[in-house]
Amino acid sequence: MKRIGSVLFLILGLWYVPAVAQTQGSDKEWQEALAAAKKEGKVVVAGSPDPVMRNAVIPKFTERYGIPIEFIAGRSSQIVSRVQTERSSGIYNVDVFLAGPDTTANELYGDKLIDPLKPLLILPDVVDGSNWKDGKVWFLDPEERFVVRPFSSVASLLFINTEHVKPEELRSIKDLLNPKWRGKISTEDPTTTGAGANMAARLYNQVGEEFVKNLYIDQKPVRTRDRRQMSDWLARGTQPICLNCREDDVRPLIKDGFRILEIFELDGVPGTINGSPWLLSVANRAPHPKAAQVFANWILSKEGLGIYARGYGSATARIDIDESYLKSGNIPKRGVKYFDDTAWQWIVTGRREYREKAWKVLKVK
Amino acid sequence: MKPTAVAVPSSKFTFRLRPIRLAEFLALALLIVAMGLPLFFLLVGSFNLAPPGKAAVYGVNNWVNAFTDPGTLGALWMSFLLSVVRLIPAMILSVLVAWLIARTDMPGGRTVESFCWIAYFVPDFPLTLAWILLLDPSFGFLNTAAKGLPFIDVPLFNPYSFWGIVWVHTSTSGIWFKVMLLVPVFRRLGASLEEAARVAGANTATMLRRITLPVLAPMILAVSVLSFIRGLQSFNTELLLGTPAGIYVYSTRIYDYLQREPRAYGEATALGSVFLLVLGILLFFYWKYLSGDKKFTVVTGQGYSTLRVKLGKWRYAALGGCLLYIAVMMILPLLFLVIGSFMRRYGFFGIAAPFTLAHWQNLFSDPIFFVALKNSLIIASVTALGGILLYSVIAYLLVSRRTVTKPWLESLCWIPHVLPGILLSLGVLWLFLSTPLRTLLYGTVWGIALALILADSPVTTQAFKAGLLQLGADLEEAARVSGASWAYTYRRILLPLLAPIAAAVGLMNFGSALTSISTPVLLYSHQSRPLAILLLEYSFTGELERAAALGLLITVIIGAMMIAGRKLGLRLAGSS
Amino acid sequence: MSQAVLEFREVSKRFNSLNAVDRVSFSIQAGEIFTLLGPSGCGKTTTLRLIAGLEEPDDGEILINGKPVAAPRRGLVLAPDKRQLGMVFQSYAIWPHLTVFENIAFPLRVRRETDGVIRRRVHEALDSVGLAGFSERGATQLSGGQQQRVALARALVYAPALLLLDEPLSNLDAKLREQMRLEIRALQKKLSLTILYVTHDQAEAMTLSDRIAVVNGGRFEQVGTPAEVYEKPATFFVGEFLGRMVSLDGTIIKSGADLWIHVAVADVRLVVRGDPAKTFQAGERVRLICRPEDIEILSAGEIQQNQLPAQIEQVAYLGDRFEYQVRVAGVSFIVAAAKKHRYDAGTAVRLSIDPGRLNIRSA
Repeated sequence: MKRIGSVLFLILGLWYVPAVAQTQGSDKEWQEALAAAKKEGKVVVAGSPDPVMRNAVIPKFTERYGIPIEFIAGRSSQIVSRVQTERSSGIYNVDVFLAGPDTTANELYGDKLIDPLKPLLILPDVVDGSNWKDGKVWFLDPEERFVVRPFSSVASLLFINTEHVKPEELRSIKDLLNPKWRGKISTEDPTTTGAGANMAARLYNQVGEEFVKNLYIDQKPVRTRDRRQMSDWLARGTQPICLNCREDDVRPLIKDGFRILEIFELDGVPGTINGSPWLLSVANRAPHPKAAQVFANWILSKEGLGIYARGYGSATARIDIDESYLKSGNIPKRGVKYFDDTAWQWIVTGRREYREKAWKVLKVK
Repeated sequence: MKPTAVAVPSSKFTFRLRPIRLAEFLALALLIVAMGLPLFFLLVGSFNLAPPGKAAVYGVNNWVNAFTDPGTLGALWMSFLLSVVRLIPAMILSVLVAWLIARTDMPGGRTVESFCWIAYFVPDFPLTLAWILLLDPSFGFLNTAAKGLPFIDVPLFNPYSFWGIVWVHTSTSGIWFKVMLLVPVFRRLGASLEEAARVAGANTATMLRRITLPVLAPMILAVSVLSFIRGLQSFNTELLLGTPAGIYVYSTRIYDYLQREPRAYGEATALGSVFLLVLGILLFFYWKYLSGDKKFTVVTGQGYSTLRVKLGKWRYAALGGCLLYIAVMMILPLLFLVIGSFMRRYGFFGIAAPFTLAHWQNLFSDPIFFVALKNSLIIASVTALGGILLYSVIAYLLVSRRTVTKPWLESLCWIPHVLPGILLSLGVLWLFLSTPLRTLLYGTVWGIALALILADSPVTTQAFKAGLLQLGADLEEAARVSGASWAYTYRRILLPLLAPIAAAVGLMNFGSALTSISTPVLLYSHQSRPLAILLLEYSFTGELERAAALGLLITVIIGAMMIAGRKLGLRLAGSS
Repeated sequence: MSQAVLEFREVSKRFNSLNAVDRVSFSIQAGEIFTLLGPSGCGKTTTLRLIAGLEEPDDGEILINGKPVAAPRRGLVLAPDKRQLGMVFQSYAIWPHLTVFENIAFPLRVRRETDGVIRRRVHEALDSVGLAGFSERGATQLSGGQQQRVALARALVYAPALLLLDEPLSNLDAKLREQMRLEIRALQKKLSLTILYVTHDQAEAMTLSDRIAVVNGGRFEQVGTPAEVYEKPATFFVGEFLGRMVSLDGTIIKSGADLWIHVAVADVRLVVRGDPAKTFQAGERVRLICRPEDIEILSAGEIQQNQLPAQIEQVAYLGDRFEYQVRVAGVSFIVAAAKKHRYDAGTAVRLSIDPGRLNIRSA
């Protein structure tokens, strides 16, 4: 009874919000989709193993609609190889993908594993363009039908431990080349695909070859493959400048009193936005198409996206989500021209080109 | 006894294809399908140049790419060097410790052995982190402590180095695995051989050198090969300690290809094939020099040996040495691991309120945890029992002189050991999906258990083989001539005699089923997720403390199983 | 002739290039002890294992009680458990995880006898090997001799068609060995057992066997009663294996009822009895074989058949007799002689060979 009540409440609430005329039809469609989804029994979501998903999103969605989520967690590349292998044998297991930009653009979209998402979006809260900063749901793919980008926040450039590095000492990106920081910078291993190489590609593109050479070779940055290692080094100050630390890893450090500062912009390098943590798409030949539709709509709604954005600490493309808990640097400023790290063309070709160039400098094939 | 009517042979003839031959061909067929096919899929796939999901285009480019990559050869050499440097002392030490446990009157041998078992299953990832905490040049405990000593003003230890990697490996893999495999073998060695040597005037050292070791040479060699290849493939420690020092090893290169987007399975398989080559060479020498089954049969028809070498006052020194090794190599980092699981942030003692129960509470309150625990227990039990049944038969076929396809059987058994786990997993995935049984196997606990059974093949087979070789054929043949069918003989004679080995092997497989990540990673589904995958997810998201707690919990489960398993094994063996 | 318990027909077994058993034919009659005697590696154990079904022949046919159990040409091989045999292994192969009782009961359990029958027959078997009261011992708590008896009891317990004993006494000390030899013989008589016995010990073979097959290089060199193989060794190998042999080379001068043979320096007329089937041509090279105890040193003036001139090389006094090392035609051998004469080294003497015990063979 309580559950039905809360569903009713949600629907009523939605009904009230904007364009009343349209809602009648959509609501009926939504109710039908919801009923069909419940009949399907579950929805299978594939994504990166993520505490937000496990601890907040799944319980909330299940509580809201009574539809359990099966979450297949793994590295994007592993998930895709599973899905492709399954499909070659006629097994279709996954309904929804929450995957990174590379995997989504080059494999899910490139290999046609996904269905158009646009016609599936029916929840008024989602389709109403006035809820979105761009005036519409942000489809990233060239056809603007398949891949939704719900997040867009300013990407951090680096983190510093201010007990060891004064913010004044780092005004320009070139300040990183100060001999004082030799051996004091940590980076995710730039010689293999991943955040380290992506940063090297970005710096190659934005600052130039010579800088990449100076930074990654002459400054002798310490490389690692382990996320946790970098943030520990940052906290201890052994490597007080961290190029690839992650906001969600650093947040607990700040809470524990470590003097860590996230730096978004420096002179000589444009600010950058990205679509982290994931892009949304739905599988074609999904085993639970209606449940997939319900999940896709809900995760883009104020409630769904709000939970994720808060848990992860990322600015969204919606206008109605509370951003007060974010750092001000995180939120893209109106009117500023940012470099977009999740732009379609950059993902599909640009980054790869620059990565290759950077690797040539780093003498990796 | 009165003379009774003389029995005559039953007139029912059996024909050439007797049960044993049938078993041989069944086993061969099974191994070809289960081990050969995944390898075949992988090798064919490695020549496929098209990106995943696209129509296949065949060529050699993947192989050329992989081997012309400037880092490949250097990484291979580094892997080889690291593997050899740590194998030799570890092997010498393992043989010594196994001998002390099994053949001498050293007190506390059982305890030392049990400890090796538990130590083997402590996950290497958190353990490596514990060593970093101890040895790091700027904050490592031991370095800080050493600075208090006179004349020391530079850090004594640096884990981010060649010797650092060797050291940490001595802790994470070290002698545990080798002692586990060697002790049962030493126990089965007929005491009369050693006694004869002593009577002939050999002192203990000469006896070890001239009698004990040569007799056990096949097993010692097999364990060395297993460890060497395992060493070439080891990965976590190199990743954590090697990357900051710019040390790249072969297995990290394979890993790179697998993580690359798009994934380069072709290049990874090409690099992985080097292990096949190494295996081929080692097997060649193994067969060439040690293939005589009879040559090393040590008949123990006259019973297990209970006589042990008397060490005199040295027995306490020996025990002290063993305990010291255990204390430094395992207790010390394990202590840090236990503490770490109770710390708000692993290794950060300086923060406010550094200790907390939250990680353990989080672990038990994760709804997935209990599902995963149940899955893991089912998977591990099935793996242990299935492995015993399957590989005791296969090992029997391998030692039976009448097996005609022995080299094929043996080579196939080794395949899982030389394929990097994730590639094996991929091959098995393809295999599962191409059979009509896929709904039973794919994404279920049964499928994961089957894949783990396959992955266990080399160690399990070798352990049974060594046991059977030392048992000698007489005990079995006596049963056959007494009128027992092969199956009855297997059940009443062989299996009970192999019980100590079976219990050990079962336990080992139980443990590795609980801790294996790379095998189930492509095969699990939401319903069949085991604990190890949960551990992977925790460490992937940087929840190191919860991962440490889970890792310890897995170790505790294995420890409990070990005690139970040992009791059961001893009862089956019928000795007290 | 009654049905043979065991029959080999042209049986061969090869291991790689080695002919372990080379076209062997023989048969064993009910109630006899048939011994395979030969040096290690001669193929005797392989023969035993072929009978037990632990090896498969490459060729030929093996029959037990007239029923073929292995005939590779016909694709027939009966598994060991279907052959109704009993076997005692050299190592005894006592199962260490079972008690004495369970060890002996095993063949009966396999045959699904009832508990009552099993208990009765195991105790009978234990009694007959003199181990009454040992039934609940652990098999590993027994001495070597006791283990041997357990193995024997286990092999006997279900009255097998044929009992196979593979060097069962070789692990025992000399005294126990003699005792067990007598016990096996007594048991065999009492239970009318048919036994195939494998040994490399000629004394064991001589005292125990009804018939002996001397095996060498995968072939049966000779099959016969202990007296036959000793007295009339068919080959030099057989003779040598069973005791000392004297061998002299010669050339036939004249063939007939008696043979004239030129041996080294002298032409001697030798009388050879037996084996009339064999005829020799003049000029043929032959070998003369006999045992040293069949050679007599003739005292001066004594005339005997088959005389040979010889020279004494060394003398040894053994208390009850002399042993002379004598030299004939460049060949030295030892001949014993009674104490009534003593010849010094260097003395020329005449030897005489018992015509009934002299074997002659083509060289």
